[in-house]
Amino acid sequence: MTVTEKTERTTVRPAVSTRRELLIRAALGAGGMALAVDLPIGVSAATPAVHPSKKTLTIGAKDFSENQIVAYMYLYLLQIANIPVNGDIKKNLASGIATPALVKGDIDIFPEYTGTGLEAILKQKASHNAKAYYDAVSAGYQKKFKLTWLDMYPMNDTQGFATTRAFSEKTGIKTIADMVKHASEVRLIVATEYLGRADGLPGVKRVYGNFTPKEIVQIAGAGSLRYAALLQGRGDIVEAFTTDAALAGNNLVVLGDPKGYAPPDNLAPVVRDDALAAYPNLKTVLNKLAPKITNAAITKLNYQADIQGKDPKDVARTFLQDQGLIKK
Amino acid sequence: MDALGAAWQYALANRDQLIGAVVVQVELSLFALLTGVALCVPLGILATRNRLVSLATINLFGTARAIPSIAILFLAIPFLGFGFTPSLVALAVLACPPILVNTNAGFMGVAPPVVEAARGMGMNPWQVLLRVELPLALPVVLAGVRTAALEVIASATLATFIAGGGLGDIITQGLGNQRVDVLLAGAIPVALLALLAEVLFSGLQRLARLSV
Amino acid sequence: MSAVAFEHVVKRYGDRGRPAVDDCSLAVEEGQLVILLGPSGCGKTTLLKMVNRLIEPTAGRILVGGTEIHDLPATELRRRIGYVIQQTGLFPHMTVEKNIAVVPDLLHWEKRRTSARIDELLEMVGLPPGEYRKRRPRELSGGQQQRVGLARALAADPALLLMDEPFGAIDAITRTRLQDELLRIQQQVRKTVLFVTHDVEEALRLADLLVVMRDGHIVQAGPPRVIVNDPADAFVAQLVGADDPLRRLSVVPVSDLMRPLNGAAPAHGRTIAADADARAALALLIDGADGQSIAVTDASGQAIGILTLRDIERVGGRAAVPSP
Repeated sequence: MTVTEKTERTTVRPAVSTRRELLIRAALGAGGMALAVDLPIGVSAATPAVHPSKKTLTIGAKDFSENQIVAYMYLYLLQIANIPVNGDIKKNLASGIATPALVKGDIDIFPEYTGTGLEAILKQKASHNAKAYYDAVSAGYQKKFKLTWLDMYPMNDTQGFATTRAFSEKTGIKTIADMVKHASEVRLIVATEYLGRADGLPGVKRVYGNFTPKEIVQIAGAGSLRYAALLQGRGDIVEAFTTDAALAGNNLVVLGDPKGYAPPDNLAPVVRDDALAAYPNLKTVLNKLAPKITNAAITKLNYQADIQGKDPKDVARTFLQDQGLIKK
Repeated sequence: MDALGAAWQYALANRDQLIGAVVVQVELSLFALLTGVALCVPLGILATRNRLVSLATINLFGTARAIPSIAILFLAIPFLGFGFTPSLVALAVLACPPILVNTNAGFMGVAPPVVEAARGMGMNPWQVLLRVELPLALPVVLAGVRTAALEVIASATLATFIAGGGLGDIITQGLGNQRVDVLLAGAIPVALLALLAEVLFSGLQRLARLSV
Repeated sequence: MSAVAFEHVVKRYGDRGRPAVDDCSLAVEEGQLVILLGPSGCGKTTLLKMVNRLIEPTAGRILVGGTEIHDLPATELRRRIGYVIQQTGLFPHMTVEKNIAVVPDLLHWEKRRTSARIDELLEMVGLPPGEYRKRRPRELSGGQQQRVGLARALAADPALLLMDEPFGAIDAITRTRLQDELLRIQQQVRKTVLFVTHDVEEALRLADLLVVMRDGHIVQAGPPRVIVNDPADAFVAQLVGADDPLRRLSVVPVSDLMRPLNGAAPAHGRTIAADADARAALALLIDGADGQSIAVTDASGQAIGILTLRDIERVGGRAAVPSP
């Protein structure tokens, strides 16, 4: 089963806020470069004590908020550690471009998902657990690209299903297995392409057995529309990504995946070996973040960026301050 | 040519789904068109009799026309939710402007002496409308309905964004999964339906014109 | 009881200036062809259209056949009155026969009766039914269309016919022919006709009763001969050409001037109908080099009198025109 490329996702999943998100994305795409050149405020601009021959690092990020928030966290952490780094991140890199850019040296660090790295980039498979995927992908990247995967985060942004707390309590549906068992009570909201995708509904059926919900409600376009339909009562369960911004508010719960039909997709920093060699404290600095990035945490941050419309930069900084990783 | 062959294969393999989608597309288009006619032909006629109605309706529907259909679909969500009904409403709104404008023009185009003669001979207002004005205005009105039909059939594909069903589901499936065969299997029937509507309406128009 | 009676009829539009029709009273006898004549804006068309309530009177009463026009629904009233307008208003999407059948259908006539009536009317207006029943209005000339318009107005055999400048849009030659037709038909059917025109020749030619209007008033009403010879004021005199001796001749029928036959009719056989006017007779007399008399014939062609130049001179001068 292939993982769905994160970038592909962005066409159907600019997280949740419809018009606002779309407008912001459009603005960003069309001329958002104007935003890209601010210096972060509040971080010392002291001249780093570094050998002139050592390069300034560049951080990259993909074109959706979740990835960019984490990338900004790397930026601030590097700055307070006095590691020379470019004032802004190179964002909006498509997944297919990010890894080659890393290999080439246009960027030195960026946050990647183990599932994407293993299946889309290395085109390999492993058993569906987080450790297996991590081990396989870090070994593969080291051998093939001389890139290092730092510590993996608890957060696993993969495919799943979400429902309202009320529906879950009423029917007792807490996992995907429960959903399949109670199929006759379930109106399932899906993106139109979900039905035809190998790792969409067919994938669920393959792992959990035949699944014929009471009704399938197809809605094309942004995931926000599907969440809106769920909240309006047009459906009971919606196919989702496990860290979607909408999950943070709205009393929604994610269904458990005991049989692991969805491939793991944990986030971790991927770094060039020469950057690690140049700055021995780089590894420690970045790994400080690892235990803090859980599904719950990142979902809340996505909510701030995508639904409340805050700048990923500010979201990242506030989070680091609240976690005590940088000064206020 | 390969793509067409693959599309045909997909269509055959999934004909139940495809037929279901075609049925919904036709239902949406037909009911939206009928609603548009039922609403906007009388409005168009009223607009020729009454300045206030004329101003109100032309402005209202002129504005509606400027809003992209998909925006109308989304605007309907808080009031009508998702599914067949909001899709129908949005499409009916889309169908109205050409029908309204053409009905207005068609009725304005009936020569005043003809209407005066009809009244002077003792026809009551309904008889004047149904026996004289409507038959004479019909070719122009039908041209408006024809335009509306084409717009509606094509735009009904947008229903996929609000769970309205139809061929849009198949088209977006093809787009999302990057399957040209699926895309074509959804898009070609839309074109065929539009063609069918064209042929049907131009036939009707010809009939209407012959009788004048 | 008059066929049509106007009693102090007024039509006012808003508070604008003077009324379009200002206190008009008139009694029309059955079978009369009444011409409403006047310059544009005199109110003649407004007066006409109040009879079938296409325009509603502001004040006064109008009675048709003794019934006040508001005592019955407008549509019913109109189905009993024939209406012919200048642009004909034939229904383009109907054939000639369907056009004519409109009022009979509104009155729920039996199909057979309607069909027979259509044939009868088309014959009467000079359009052979076999050829013209299935034609469409757009295939007809202006003159033919107006004949159909007349047939359509007469279809349900109304007692009253309203005609609003019906020949105004027709060329002069056809117009004369249609006027002749109208006179001929009128002799046959003797309808009461209210006819609006601004064409003085037409008015003098057709009228049994000539009603001259100006600024919403009826200035003078009477037979053409009286209006021409005894105009009520300078306006009327000027309008009808009371000064013009030829005009005065035109309103005198030959029968008024001829002398009885004493012995045989003149050998030369130039004739004129008894109901022709003296102006036409004069033209005939002047044209001849062969004598100065013409025979006057009746409808069957029988000579009933003789007319000479001398007789025409007897028409004499006009009456004195009252000073303005």
